[in-house]
Amino acid sequence: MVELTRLEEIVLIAIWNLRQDAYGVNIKKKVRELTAKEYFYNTLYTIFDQLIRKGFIIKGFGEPTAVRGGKRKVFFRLTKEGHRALNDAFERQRRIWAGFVKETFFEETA
Amino acid sequence: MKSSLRLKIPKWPYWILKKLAFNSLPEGYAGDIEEEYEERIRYFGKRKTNAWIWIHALTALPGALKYKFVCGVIMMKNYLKIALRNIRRNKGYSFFNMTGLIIGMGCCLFIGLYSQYEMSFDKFHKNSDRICRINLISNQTGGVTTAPALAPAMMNDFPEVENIAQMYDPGNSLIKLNNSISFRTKLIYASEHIFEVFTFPLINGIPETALEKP
Repeated sequence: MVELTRLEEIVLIAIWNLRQDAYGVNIKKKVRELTAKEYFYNTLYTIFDQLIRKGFIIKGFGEPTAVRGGKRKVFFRLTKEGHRALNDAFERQRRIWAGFVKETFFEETA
Repeated sequence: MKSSLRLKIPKWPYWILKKLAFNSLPEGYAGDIEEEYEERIRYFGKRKTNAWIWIHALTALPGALKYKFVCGVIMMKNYLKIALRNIRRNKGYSFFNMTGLIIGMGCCLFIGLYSQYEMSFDKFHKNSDRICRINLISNQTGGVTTAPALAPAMMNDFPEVENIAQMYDPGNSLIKLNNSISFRTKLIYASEHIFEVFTFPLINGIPETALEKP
C-alpha cells in the first residue's frame, strides 16, 4: 500500500481528470477547481518532481508554441503505479469514511 | 506579438525563476509561467500580474538557495572522498607531493612571521620607514661595527642620504657628572644628529642643542 500526501493525491487526481492534456497550466486550473485554492507553480513542480521520482507519473514533451516563448509543453501521464496508488488512496478513503453521515445538528460535548 | 509579450515580462523575477528554479523540468515550468502570465495580464491587468510573478520569484528563492547549498555540500563531500581515495591509491607520489607542499607552506609562514617580527619594533620614531641601519659584521669577533669615517663619507657621496647619526656602545663604564662619579651599565655614545633622526623623548633639555658640547 502506497502512502500519498494530500497534495500529491490532488495532483494525481487532476492529472487523471485531464488525461491527454495534463500540463502545468491545465493542472493548476484543475487543482484550483478541485480545491478552490490557488497554488504556486513552485509547489506544483516540486510535487511533480516527487511523483516522477516515486514513479507515479511520466513526462513527455509537446510541440513548442509561440505563446510560451518558444518553449515546449511538458505533459504528464499516469503510470501503472500511479493508477494503483490512486486506487489504493480511493479504497482507503472509502474505508475511512464508510458509514459516515453528514450531520446538520451538532451536539456540544463537555 | 510574441516579441512585445516577451518584453512585458519583468526581467528580474523572470531571471530568478529561470535560473534558480530547481525542479527537473525548467522548460515546462518557465513555459507554464509565461503562458499563465499572458492570460493573467488579460484578466487582471499589468500591475497585479507583475505582483503575482514577483511573489512567485520570491517564494522560489529560499528553496532554491537551500537546494544550491545542499548540493554544494554534497559535491564538496564527493570531492573530499575522491581526493582521499587518490591519496590512498598513489601513496608514494602523494607523500612526496604533500611533503613538498608542507615544507613550502611552512617556509612561507615562517618567513612571514619573521618579517612581521622584524617590522614590528621601533615604530614610534617619526620617520621610521625612512631610517636604515648600516652594519659591517665582523667574521672574527661577531661584532657589528662600521668605521667612524663612514658617516661623513656617505653624507658627501650619496645625495639620497638626508642625515646620519652615529652610535657606539662602550659597554659598562664610569661617568663623571658634576664632580660625582658613577658606574653605568647602559650607556651609548651618540653623535649630535641623533635627535634629528630618532624621536626619543628627552627628560631634560632641548633636542637640538643637547649634544653640541662635550
